[in-house]
Amino acid sequence: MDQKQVFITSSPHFSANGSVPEAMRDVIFALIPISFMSIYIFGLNALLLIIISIVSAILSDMFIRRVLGKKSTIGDWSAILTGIFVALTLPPIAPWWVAVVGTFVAIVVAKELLGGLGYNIFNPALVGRAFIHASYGGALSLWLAPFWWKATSFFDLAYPKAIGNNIVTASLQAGTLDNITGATPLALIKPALAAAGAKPSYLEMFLGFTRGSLGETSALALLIGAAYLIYKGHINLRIPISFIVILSAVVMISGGDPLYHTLSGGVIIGAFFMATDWVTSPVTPKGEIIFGMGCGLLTALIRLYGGYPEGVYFAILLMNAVSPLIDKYVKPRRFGEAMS
Amino acid sequence: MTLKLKTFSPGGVIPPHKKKKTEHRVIEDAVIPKTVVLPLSQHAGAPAKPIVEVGQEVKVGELIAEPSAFISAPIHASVSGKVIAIEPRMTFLGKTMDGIVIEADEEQGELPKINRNVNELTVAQIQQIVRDAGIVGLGGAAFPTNVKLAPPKDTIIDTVIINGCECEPYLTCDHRQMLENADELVGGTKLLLKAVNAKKAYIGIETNKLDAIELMLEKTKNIDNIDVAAVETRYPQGAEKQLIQAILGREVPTGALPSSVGSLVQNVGTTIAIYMACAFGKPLIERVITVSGESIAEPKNLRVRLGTPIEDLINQCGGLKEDVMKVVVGGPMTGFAIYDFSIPVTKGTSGILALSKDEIDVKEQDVCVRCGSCVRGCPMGVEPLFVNARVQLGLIEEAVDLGLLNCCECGICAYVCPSNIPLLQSFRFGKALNAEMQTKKQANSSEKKQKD
Repeated sequence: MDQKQVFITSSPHFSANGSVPEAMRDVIFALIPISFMSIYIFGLNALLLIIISIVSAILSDMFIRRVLGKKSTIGDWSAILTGIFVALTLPPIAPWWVAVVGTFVAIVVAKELLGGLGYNIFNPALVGRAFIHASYGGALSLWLAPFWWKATSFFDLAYPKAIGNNIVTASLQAGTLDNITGATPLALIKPALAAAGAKPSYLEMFLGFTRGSLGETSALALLIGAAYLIYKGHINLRIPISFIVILSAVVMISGGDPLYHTLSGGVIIGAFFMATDWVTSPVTPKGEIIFGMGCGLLTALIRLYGGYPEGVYFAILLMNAVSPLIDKYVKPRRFGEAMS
Repeated sequence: MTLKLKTFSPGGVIPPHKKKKTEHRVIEDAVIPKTVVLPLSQHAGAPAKPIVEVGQEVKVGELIAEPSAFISAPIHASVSGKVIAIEPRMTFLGKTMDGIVIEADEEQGELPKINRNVNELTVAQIQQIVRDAGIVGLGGAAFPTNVKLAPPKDTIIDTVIINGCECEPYLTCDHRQMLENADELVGGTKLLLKAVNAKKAYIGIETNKLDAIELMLEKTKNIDNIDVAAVETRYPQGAEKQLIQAILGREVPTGALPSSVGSLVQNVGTTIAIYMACAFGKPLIERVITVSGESIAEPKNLRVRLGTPIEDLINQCGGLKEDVMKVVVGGPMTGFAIYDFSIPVTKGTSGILALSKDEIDVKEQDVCVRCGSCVRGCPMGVEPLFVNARVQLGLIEEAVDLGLLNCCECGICAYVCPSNIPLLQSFRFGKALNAEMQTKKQANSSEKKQKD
């Protein structure tokens, strides 16, 4: 018979749908609600931060891949995703160069220099954020009020301005802004900071009408995105639920308000989007639960007893370091062997 | 009547069935081929020894090769004709093997029949008939059935499981046999119960074959010791150990056989063949296969004489379409891709799939992103990503510690991997390296013994 050209490979001879770039794109879609919410709440500041982060992430990726002599991985969408994540961890008043430095560190140091996608130990966006936090703390300690731009216009841009020994908030259109910055919900409940102000209501925190980083505001927008990722099968509820349950338990034991803690700061974005990152979390279901519990515990301890009002990002980074250890000792049961 | 839905754990995946093309097609008899090639090894164990010579005339059903060891099986002529060669021929494994080549006569004649009353057969008689008929496991492993029916003296088998799961996509030969040869299946089940002195038999059927479940329920409703067990449609539900776990809740220990937990599993085709051998003296000379896939013109279920070249069957099904990319013998998860279409159908062949580019989804390999899909899918509790990393680095002992040898080669890990990493291929390579290492070690230690 007329022999056709055929392929020979080992079985299996077909595969399930799905690829890494597809999964990355899905996470980007899932972050669209919170991105739009943050732009609506904080105005042009948020929009510029997101755009600059994405561009800087892409350029950093191209730069380091060229320097290392590897082929470009822009097509896998991971750089864009890291860019969006870094932007979402920044306060809206952060200057543009903070976004550039943060994404550069995230992509070049935390990801590519550690071996590239699949080999990084730490969540790259969080490393970028941690670097910024440690290096430029001052620029990041001013928190804009939600909808501050309505006083002037959407196209108004707020920035930190040095006056004498103080850094205050100013905007392009209004000069120095009075009564615009204040304390985040977490700062308000940190006795050591002695911050003044009224605590937001649960509804305000759920919808996102509070101070905070771009991604720390609307729990609703984040949960919509998380629901999409769960529907697509990219994440499951083990890490988010164990994270939030342990956080709430420790908070309750020390007399705090678990709902307030869950809705404030980076818990929702951290538990659903960052702690669930495939590369830096354990591969077994049991391991994931231990990981989530560790994140919740560390977050609670830092918030309640540590120096910072917010602890999610450090908690996740610390648990990232423990993740390989979890994988080493938490093994699935072998079929046909006795339960040990 | 047991109809609670059962399944196995851990692991598993639900691939698309792809059975619509052939699940309603009645089994057709394939055209008798002009030449058959019968490899001497169509079964697990030692190859058979030919007892015919080149030039000899043989009749259909005649014994042409004897078993050469305890774990071996005889081979019978699948057509009447003349032996024109006993020489190495290509097989689906990609290597050549000695086979008996028979040129078929124009006039085929009838297969001789020996009518027996199956109820009067003794256990010893049943085992002898099964061995003499050359019956081996038709689910694919092709293990000599009479050896399975004679476990060691102190092993007690209390349950027989008839495997009607057919969990591989595309394949429908077992499904059709359950529908079209239901009486023979029940007869074979009764013989199995007698042969191993078991108390109960279950016919395990996946829920994507509701018509078969209904029919078997009807056929067994008045038989106390045969029940139908409907199991969840999930791959690899039809794997022996997984099926035993699902139906009986017993786990076969690593390295042990199903008999160690008191059970015997037989494929639907094998069970029917057992009945045909006992009731009519029919040796194993033909089997049912499914020819399917997007790139075959007319998908069919065919009753095929063993030794028929695959190209004959492809032609009978209208030929390959232009967009064919792979031709697979077996199912898509565990089958063998072939390039030489002259190779013959053997006892273990369950299907021929002509797969198009869309079906095999050629993707480039990407880096492992530790997503854990392979860990969640593995039914044996191995962590494929870690075993693969060790094999790629040549750290075979570590790979064995991490479960390399527990791998049952179901293919789920490679199937679910979003980065398209050829995990199963890596494990096969690792197992081969391990076997090499073990042989070297044994050679070294026996050398040492000689020196001392």
